[in-house]
Amino acid sequence: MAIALVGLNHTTAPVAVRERLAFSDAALADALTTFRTPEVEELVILSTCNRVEFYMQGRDVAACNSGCESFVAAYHALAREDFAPCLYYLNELEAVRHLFRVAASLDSMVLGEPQILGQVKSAYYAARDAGRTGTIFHHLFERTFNVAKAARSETGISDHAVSVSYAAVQLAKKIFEDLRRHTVMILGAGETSELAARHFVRQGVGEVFVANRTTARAEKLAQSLSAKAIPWDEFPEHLAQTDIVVSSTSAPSLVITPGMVQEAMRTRRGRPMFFIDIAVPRDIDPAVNALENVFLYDIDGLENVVAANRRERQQEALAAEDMIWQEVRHFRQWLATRDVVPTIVALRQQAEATRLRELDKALAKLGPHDERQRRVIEALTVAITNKFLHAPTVHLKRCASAGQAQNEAQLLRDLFDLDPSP
Amino acid sequence: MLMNSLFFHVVLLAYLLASLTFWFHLGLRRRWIYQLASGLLAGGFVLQTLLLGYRLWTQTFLSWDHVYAYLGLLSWAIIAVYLITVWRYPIDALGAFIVPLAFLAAAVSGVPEIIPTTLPTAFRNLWLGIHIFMALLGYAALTLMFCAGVMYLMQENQLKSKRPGALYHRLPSLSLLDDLNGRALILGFPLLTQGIVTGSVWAKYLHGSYLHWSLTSLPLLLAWLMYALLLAGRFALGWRGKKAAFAAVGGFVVVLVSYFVHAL
Repeated sequence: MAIALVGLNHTTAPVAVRERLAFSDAALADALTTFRTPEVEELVILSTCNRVEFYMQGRDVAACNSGCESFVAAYHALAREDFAPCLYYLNELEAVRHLFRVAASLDSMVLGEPQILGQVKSAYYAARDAGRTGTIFHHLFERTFNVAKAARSETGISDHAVSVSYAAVQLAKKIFEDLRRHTVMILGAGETSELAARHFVRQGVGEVFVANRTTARAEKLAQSLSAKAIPWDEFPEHLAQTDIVVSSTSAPSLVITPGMVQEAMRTRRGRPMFFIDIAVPRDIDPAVNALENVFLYDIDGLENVVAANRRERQQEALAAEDMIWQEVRHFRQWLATRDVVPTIVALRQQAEATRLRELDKALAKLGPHDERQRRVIEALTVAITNKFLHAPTVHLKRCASAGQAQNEAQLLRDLFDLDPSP
Repeated sequence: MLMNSLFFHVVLLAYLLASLTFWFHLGLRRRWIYQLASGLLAGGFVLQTLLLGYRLWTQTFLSWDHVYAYLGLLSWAIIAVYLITVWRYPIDALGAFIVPLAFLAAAVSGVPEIIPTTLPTAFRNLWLGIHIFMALLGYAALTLMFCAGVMYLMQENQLKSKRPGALYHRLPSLSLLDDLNGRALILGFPLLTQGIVTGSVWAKYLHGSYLHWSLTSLPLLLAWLMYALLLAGRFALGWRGKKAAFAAVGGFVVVLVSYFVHAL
């Protein structure tokens, strides 16, 4: 029994190679049924835009690997040299750990991205529906889903925004805490401002104003956001009622000056304001940031936040790696005990058979006896077999949890002649 | 006496360890570290409460004329205010700021000398107790405001600099901190006012005058003035955010300095 992994991902293969090896949903079902070699007992194929991986369980790792390579070459009609240099091969617990890391998005291009777990799940279900999985992969993928979910919920690997517009929303939360009671004004009705606006709307901000030089576009965007369009000339008056300003106009010069903001802050009695300037050239005078309780982020500032968030996710990933190591150890233990269970069962069965046989013989020789005497002799045989079997059973289980039961189990089988002779 | 001293040192140790663990949590942010810190703190607090209760019960209270002696009680009040705050606000980072202050207060107070209190009647003891309790809770609220102010200034600096570091992720939002600042003010002011009123009633009994009551009167009056100033600033002049945070930090420092100058 061995687990083998052959695969490539965004770090080992360029997209030109990945796209040729990828499987669409239909092709995946087909591949799961066509890739049949005697070496591969269980098979799961994971194919996403960033990776193609074959998880195989069989007796011989080398045979699995070469079988897999020939299948890929034949299926996609490729020469082996075209893709073989990009492949990585992982065996046994290395493969298990890799699967855990992939599902927990530690191996993803964007650390902590949410899609990969779903992709791993559907890869497993496709293989299961095609009848290509058995007890080992069933257990392995069950563990995978659990550890991936735990890594996401118990560490912060997916907590911090790594896109500019979502980083802006998180910044707003660091200023205002609850966005529901706050008002957003969108200046400019372009695509970038729309994207940022949608993020804020999804977070449930109170009221949204849209102002644009061409009123028709402002109204269109306002409609799709269920916001309120205001005439461009009136936006300075609305500043005082606005907590968050997202500006992305195509104006060549500054749209918002410190004077305007100062005026608004006086009316607001110092309640904080947050300006997000995602326009290039910039719309808002950088001097605005110097005003008390006013925060201004331009595109560079937001990029800084994103970089800081990435570092934060990296930190959290360390904790996730720990969790994964622990889960790999659990899986190894499960595999190992699984290996010794047949040996223990065989040993017990053999002992029981011998006991019954000898008991019958002894009772026959004893001649007439009453029920009580029979019970005493029977109890004696049970006690002796159990006492004798206790030590080897415990020893084997202990070895199994330490992951070194292979030799011991074989020794036991040899000593007690448990394997039926050929 | 021995039990007193032993208990006191265990309390000190618990607060010290809790402070260190809260700092570790700020750096590593693992849930179990926070739980460990909270456990240590809760253990220390229960023990300190028992210790104070025991001293009250046996009437072997510390000498009230000794300024340092109050600090032990103050540390208890600070932890009490902290526990109430985190019960209402989910501010994980607060412990790392306020618990070390409680530890310092307890440590400076030292093992108090046990002198039987000289106040003869239960009536006077009651007034004295209320006065001290109110005043200390007022001080503790001021300490909370100080911590919220420091955290506000740090977070504000992170946001203004546009180079957010680890603290940006650890500290709560500005709005929450400003809110906490305001609540502590609203809660602390009446407490301190009560403390002053009951203190002067007691002083009238003891010394026959409302103003000459105890060695701790100057810091108390200063703290009250600070509160009044902060209240006026926040609700009449619209100080909020940075100004309010600065004022809270400044007020605390002034009271602290006056306290120690007075104690010397």
